[in-house]
Amino acid sequence: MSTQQTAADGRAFLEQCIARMSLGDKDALAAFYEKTRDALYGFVLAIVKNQQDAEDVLQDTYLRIYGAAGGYQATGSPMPWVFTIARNLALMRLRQHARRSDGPADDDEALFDVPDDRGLDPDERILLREVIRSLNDEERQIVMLHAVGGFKHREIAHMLGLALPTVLSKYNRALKKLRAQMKGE
Amino acid sequence: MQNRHLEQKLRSAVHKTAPDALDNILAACDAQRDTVIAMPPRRRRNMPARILAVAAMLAIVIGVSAGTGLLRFPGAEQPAAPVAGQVDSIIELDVNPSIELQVSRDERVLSATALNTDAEAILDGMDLQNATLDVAINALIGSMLKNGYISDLQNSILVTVENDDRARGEELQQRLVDEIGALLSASSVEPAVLSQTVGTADETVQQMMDTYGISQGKASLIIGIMAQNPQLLERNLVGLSINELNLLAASGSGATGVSSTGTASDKAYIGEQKARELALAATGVAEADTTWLNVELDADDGRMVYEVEFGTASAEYETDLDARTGEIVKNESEYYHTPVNPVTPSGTEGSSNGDIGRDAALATALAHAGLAEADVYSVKIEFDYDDGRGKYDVEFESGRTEYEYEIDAATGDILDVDIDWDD
Repeated sequence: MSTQQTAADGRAFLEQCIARMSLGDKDALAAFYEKTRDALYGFVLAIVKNQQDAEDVLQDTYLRIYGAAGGYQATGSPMPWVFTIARNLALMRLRQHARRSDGPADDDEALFDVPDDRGLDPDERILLREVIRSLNDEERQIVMLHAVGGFKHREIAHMLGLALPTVLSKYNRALKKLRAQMKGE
Repeated sequence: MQNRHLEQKLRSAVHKTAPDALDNILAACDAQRDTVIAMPPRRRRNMPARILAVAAMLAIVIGVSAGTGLLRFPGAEQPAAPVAGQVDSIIELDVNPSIELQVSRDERVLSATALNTDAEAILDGMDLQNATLDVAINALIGSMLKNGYISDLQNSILVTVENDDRARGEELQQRLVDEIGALLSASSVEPAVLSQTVGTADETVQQMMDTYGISQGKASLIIGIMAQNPQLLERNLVGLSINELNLLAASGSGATGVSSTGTASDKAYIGEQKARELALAATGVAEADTTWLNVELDADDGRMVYEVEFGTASAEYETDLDARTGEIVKNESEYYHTPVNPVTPSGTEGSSNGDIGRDAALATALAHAGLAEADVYSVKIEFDYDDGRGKYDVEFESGRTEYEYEIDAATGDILDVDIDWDD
């Protein structure tokens, strides 16, 4: 079986979950959550850049997906829809902070404080911090979507409204930055 | 650290950091389900114009006698009765011209403000100060019809009433909808009226108003449309006219908090059926060979497009066409396997335009990678047409390596290469 078919099977499964969610099936929500949590969390974190907001937005995203499942029109590829929901909610959170000026301060100390109890090894801790600190917003989203979300560069280009060469060069530049930072630590 | 090691570390870090939120989510869903997402019933009226006009007049008579304070939310404080001369309601009319009217309790216009350049032309030389609301609405709608902002081709108008007393606002909203509908019908334009009652702008609405210089009504409408159609992007919506937004809402799942009467005109567009035919013709796929097909209006870079998506047993296609001209602005296909006889879409490519074709694009990429066609799998060849230039995106895998090429469709030059080693 080619990877293409595997990916298509995965998409079909998620689409079935959405269809079941529209009928109020919470088991489908749980299954959907298991399959998508890491990818969505990584993406939301890439936008809001702090853990508390990312957790809140993640939760809101699943509630919104569950509530809006009936309005989803099956296209064979549900993740762009899901990520658009997440992005809109994450951007809304940023706008709320901007209006109230109560977001986390934009300096290194306040950026991303990884809790001690999550079992990260030192490399993982540094890497996560550098993804937040060293990459710009687009680079961070592209890296999370590709490395954690498993999306192809072409799919990312479509989702973020960027040209494929832009995504490719930003991705390569981002990884180069991260490699340099990891080496420097 | 190698790229793939870095990616793996990041996956692991995110996995360990991601919260265990499922229990909270499941507990919250029942409460959320019927409140946040529920769409208000859409009021659709198809009454003949004369009946509508009579109904509007009756509504005005009834409306004047039922003022502030008769209806209110249970437990709400009785609002202090506004007196004539003080602003009671703010009414916004958005077509493309956006006009704000401040209106007193006895429904006289205290001020009329142009919120954009088109509105300045409408208000130019018009003195609405102290006019009754119905006279002002009559004059404004008349001018918008005369100046071509409302016509058979674009028949939508958005009415937004801002009043902290919601019941009073909604009552006024309904009267205005009826009155505007009657005025348009009398001018032989099928009315399509969107309407909403709003309170003071919240942070999200205010932010959008400030960022794009649009009215509160239009910002609220866009947020309402995005809530129901999350695939739409804010930046693609803000530049659209009310008729275009109305069409998008109708083509998708509506707009939260917005009532709709009538049907937005798509007479300026080629129509879904024509879009479907053109897309199939451009890809060379017979309708009988499609396993699914979906046509939707979408907005892309400020222009309206028909997004035609369909699948066959061997591939998926997406063709976007300019909704007004039918011009193909995007033509992509994704093959599940290497196509035996690759289809060359017509309309945007072909040898007459100096197009090397899919086979040559794939051959160029394979030659660069030093691979034979038999060595690769998951081949995807997509044609992209952007800014007047055609490109092929060629992707394939071999072993654990993923190749992505971008090839100029006219010259065959390799524009971009990305080679990834997958774990």
